[in-house]
Amino acid sequence: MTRALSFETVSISYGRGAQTFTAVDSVSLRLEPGEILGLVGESGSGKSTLARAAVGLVEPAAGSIRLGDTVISRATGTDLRERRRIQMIFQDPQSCFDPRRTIGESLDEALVSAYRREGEPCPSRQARAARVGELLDSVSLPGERAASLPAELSGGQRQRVAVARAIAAEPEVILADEITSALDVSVQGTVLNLLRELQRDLGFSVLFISHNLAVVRAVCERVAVMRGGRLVEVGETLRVMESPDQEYTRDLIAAVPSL
Amino acid sequence: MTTSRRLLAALRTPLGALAVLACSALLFLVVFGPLLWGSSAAATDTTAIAQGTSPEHPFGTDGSGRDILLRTLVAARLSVTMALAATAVGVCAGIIVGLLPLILGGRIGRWIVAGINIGVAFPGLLLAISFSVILGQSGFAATLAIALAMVPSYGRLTHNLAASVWGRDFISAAHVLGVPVWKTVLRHVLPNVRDPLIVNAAVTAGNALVSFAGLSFLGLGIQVPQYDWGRMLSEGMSRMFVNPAAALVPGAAIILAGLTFVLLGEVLGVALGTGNHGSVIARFHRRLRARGAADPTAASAPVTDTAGVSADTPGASTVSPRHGKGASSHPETAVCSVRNLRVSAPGPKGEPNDLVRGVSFDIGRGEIVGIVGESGSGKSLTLMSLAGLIESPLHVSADAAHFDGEDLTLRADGHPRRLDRHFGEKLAMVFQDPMSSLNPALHVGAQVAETGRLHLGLNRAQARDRAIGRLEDVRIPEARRRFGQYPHEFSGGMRQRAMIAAGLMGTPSLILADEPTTALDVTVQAEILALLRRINTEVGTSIVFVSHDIAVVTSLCTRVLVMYRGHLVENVSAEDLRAGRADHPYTRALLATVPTMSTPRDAPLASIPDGADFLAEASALVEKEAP
Repeated sequence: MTRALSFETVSISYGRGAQTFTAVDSVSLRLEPGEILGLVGESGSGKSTLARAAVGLVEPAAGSIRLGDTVISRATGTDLRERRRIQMIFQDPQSCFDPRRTIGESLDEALVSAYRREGEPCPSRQARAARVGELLDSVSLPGERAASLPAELSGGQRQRVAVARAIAAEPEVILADEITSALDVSVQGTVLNLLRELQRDLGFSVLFISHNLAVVRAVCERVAVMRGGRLVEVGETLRVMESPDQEYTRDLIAAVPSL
Repeated sequence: MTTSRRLLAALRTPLGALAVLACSALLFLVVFGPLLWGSSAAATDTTAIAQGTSPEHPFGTDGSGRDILLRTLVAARLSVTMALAATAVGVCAGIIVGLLPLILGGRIGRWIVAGINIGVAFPGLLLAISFSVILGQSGFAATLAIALAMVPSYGRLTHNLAASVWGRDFISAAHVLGVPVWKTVLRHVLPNVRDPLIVNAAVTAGNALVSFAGLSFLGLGIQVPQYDWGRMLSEGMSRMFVNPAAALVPGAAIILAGLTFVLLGEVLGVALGTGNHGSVIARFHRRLRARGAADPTAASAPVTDTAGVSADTPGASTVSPRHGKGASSHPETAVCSVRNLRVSAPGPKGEPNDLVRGVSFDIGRGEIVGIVGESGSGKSLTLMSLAGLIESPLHVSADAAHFDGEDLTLRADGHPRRLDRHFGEKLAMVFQDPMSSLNPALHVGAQVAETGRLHLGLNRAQARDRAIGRLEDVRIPEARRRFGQYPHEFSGGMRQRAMIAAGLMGTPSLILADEPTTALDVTVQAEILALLRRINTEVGTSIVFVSHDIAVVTSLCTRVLVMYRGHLVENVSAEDLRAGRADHPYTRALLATVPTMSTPRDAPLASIPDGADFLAEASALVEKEAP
């Protein structure tokens, strides 16, 4: 059973006093269970900050974030554990794995955290190693890769392992923050197909943050457009792409270079 | 290269060997010195008090008739072990203090950082002396004092290193997974800051040795009847003019032992890969490599394996422009042309490893040529070698290179001989990240105008006027006011415009652009592309535009070069590419992977699988057609 992730008039600001910068300005957005929602906007529009607030990397100054009925913003105790049901995949495959730990160790860490969250006893080392093998298999990487260091993998392979790490935590929601923008276009398809397949099989929902409208159009059912910290437009992807309500959305679409 | 292999390599250098030798000598003295000479060094001889140099006592004797040389050798154990003990305690405490702010976070963390900062403000030796006075006069107290004095600076180092790791995504990932903070610090932060800490510990040990000698010299450290080098130095100083050796020998021992630790730090730095590029060993290696790389490939002579490589790479150097309207294929009339351009890097054993493998093309006048390819395809290296910006240890060679009708012969180091004076006047360059290509400490306008003063011989006022004109040309609003602003006051798109304006100070016949819009938003990207197009039509400047984004390239360029694994596999007009007419299987596969606003939404996206080898595929195609 998965739950909806909802942002309710969330505002997030950095700095204090006169230097306060509002990165997200009273945004309300609902990610339905099992859907892929695109979130587009230019740099500084607040789309990444919004996602980081959902996993607790920043705390909102106002408003609340809920997973189902549980308030997970400014959470403590058991509610905090609920927040681990939301996982994030980062943009830069260079820096999203500890360069000194093998792929297997990084995945194992995710597994152990998931068991601890559930309060279940942690299975034996062998059982976890077998699960790491399954995880790698689910992102179409050979099990021997568990012994590799991140540097021995290509950017696309690393991003696939990042997907595996996210699903190791048995998430209800995955926040994908520009996960293919640092990759070559030739491997972008592999990562996105994989994410879509897993999403279909496991039923988690995805907040797909991207500045690439063509990719968002191909992957997402609905799309939200942000500008300057505010939510400009939300709707069915095809409807928004073909007849946007807002002039800003129209400008964004017009700026997409075409083949 | 693994750490152990790097360590072996570092030990094989002269400095490495010296470090090993010095460390073993010191270790020998520490372990065996007192056992071998302990009793004879302690033996007083009332018949030979305070003597000068003699056959029995090569450096004379001290006030009780004991041999200076033997005492110096024996004192090594106390001096070195005390210094190492102080370092061990100080470094461990420093690491803990440096990591605590991350673990505790919030207000307490900030207080600890403030405490560290205050501690760093006091000189280390002053702190050591103060602590020593408080703790009392003994070897143990002095060790503790030196260790305490080390904590602020080591804590600060640890905190700075850890804070830079703290901002990285894998820390965020651990946080999102719910890994406890202290575990994250021990598991992810400490191992990643370990190397510089080890290197610094070696150097710190050298400092501790000197500080310890200093405390003993002042009478605060080791007390009679024990003795260390500092103590001996202070005893010898009083008879400096009777027997200088009594002070000089322990002094020399302090210097040599201190140097040994510094040397050890240097060698460890190379082995652990933290050695800065200015370090002696790093320089030595670079020189060796440069020599190795320069030898086999002489200036513009064809490389010996050229024939072999181009034979098994169909079309690598024989691709000619198809349907290239306006594309001149004659080197004489082209703005820029190269034949068989190669860029190689020295491999782990010094053998050349080709990154660009024999690329030939011409850039016609008024053309906009795009170079596309995935990361590692050699597209940026090709552009950089056109600009003469390839640095050692990379090595460039070409059979021929022309720029604006002039033959550019390559020097032995692979750099074109006469390109420099074209810079700013006929050749301009735009880089990916305008924040790092503009100096943040200087006004933008001054940096734009600099080109005019440096290359065009304009005076200050003329350069300023022209720079303002050019800033207006690239549509920077209020150019006169903006002239005096710093790069951080410009937006990303405006910085890139300013860079282009700097390139336009002369009348360039060629602009080289390396991923100039990759760091920009799509709407800003569209503006920069429009600007480049306008410059091309109004001034007739040729542009080479490198990008990984084939959609951007086809929308801007008239002709597209596709690079794959160091080879130029396709040279095609943008029109044909847009229509999907491409020869090489890689180009076709690449085109298919680009998502567009009309990509079907339910089918899986096209991609190129991990192990695909399009060079083999292309040669198989050629073979099939041949019979």
